[in-house]
Amino acid sequence: MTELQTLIGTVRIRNPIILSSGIWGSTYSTLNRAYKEGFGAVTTKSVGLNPRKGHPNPSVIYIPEIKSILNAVGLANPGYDAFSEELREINHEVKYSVSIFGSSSTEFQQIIQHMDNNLTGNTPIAYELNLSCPHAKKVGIAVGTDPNIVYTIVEACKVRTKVPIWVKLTPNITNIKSVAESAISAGADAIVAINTIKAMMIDIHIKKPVLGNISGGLSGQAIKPIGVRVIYDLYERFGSEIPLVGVGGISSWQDAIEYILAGATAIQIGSALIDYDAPQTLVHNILNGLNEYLSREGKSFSQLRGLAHE
Amino acid sequence: MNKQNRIEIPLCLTITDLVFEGEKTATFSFHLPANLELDPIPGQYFMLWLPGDDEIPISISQIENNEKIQFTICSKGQTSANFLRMNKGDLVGLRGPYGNGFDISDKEVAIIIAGGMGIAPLRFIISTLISRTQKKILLIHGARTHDELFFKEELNNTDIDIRYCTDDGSFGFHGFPTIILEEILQKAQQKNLSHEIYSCGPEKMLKGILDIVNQFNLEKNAQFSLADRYIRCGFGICGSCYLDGVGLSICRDGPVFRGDVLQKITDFGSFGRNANGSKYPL
Repeated sequence: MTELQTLIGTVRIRNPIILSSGIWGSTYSTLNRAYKEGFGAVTTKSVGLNPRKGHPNPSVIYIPEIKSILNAVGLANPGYDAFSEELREINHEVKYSVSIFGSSSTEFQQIIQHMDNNLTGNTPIAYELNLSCPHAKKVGIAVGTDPNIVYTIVEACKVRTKVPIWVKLTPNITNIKSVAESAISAGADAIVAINTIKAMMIDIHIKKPVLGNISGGLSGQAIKPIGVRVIYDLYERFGSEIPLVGVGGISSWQDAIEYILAGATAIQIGSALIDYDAPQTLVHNILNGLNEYLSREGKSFSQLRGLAHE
Repeated sequence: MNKQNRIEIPLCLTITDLVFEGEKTATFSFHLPANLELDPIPGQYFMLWLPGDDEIPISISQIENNEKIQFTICSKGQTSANFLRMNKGDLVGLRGPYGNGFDISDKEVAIIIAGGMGIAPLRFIISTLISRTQKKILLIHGARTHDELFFKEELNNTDIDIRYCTDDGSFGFHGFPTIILEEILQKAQQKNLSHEIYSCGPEKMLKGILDIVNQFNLEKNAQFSLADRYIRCGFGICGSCYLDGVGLSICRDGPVFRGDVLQKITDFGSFGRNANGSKYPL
């Protein structure tokens, strides 16, 4: 077996496959299970200041023709107070990052401070700032497309905690590099890209939008080429100085390698879990494929990063 | 992966029939397009979408010839109340079937325990057991009161044995179905017959049943539908309905679980989770 331990900045994880935010991660038991089934790390569902029940259903629709998911869950969460209690139940060996959303730098600070105080026994590997959810008002994309606001939020988080700050960006923007640049100059420890792409669906019989929120975000295989392009552009601009976590439509070892050749340090997987009764098979397939590819190429995992640029 | 055919994107169908079973409960019929070959399993559910309102999980109450499908809805929240205001000919979006249903099993006797609305999915397993097996079937049909013993007439017209019970004593035995179950299992010990137990109803009742079947070492032969809980996506992705303990979802790993699995679910019978993920006592 090739060494697949991965370093994302200062964070070492056992393999480069991370469970993405918004999939499974609402409870301690699923985070434990996902880690036990092989993920290198797991990401929680995004948490905010107050409890939110999310948008009316239908809020998650699978589109088999393009193996993709259209969702407008709307950041449903129990609020940071209750959620930190949930996270205290996570097994100590589990490497997890906490996804956070907010509408201002003070909201982010408040949540991070509370998490820092409450999770002392089992500190997260990172806080992943969700500056990219496309289907909730005043948060996510609403703050994540303005480079100045991104700078303020990331800087505010960095002064408040020693836990690494990862920033998840949206592809729903003309120039993602300027937002990434703001995040990096404010001290972001890694960039995670991409979040879902704004999308919708209309029922032709009743002639109405299907999602309860009218529009939502698309994830899954259809968006993979978009994610690869974003990672490629970010690596082109920032080189190996900043870790990049690639996410969007990865469901095989070939997809994972494509992202890594584009410049990703690690990858996240979410929607692909729909094809598996347990994540174990998916994660193992990708790790085995990666290992065999590295053996054939005679390269180490870290040597693979960004090779498509040479 | 489950190879069963499934409607993934809501398919809008007209309500072909609507029958009130009680003041706040009605059975809705739809005709599925013949080419879909969904072959739903008893215990599975569909997501039923009321355009402009919301979408809720409803267990299949009956299906005939893989075509005429029925769902029984009880008004207990805003969307279910709005469903009961619908009329024959109105459009409803359907996606499914989802989840893990009941196993038929090779046991000689089927004991079926229904609490209130729990009779709806059990009605489908009863008709399946009657048409496909020679099992002896015993139904313990419980409800709060006489008027809530839904499908009483229909079930009386079958050959199965039925024991009724009501919380208020207005019909049948005055007390919970669990008391009758315990009595039946005690008597059954003397006979050399194998039993499979199917149950659906309020989670507190299911917890009571699990405690009893444990005493008789029947937890592996007992199946429970937890269809009463909050479900969002239907296919195990969003994380809204995951249970504490080993990390199983209601929507995909369930809603039907065997007793030995339920024993590992730490919030079973004590806490549920609402749409925002907060816990609430049952």
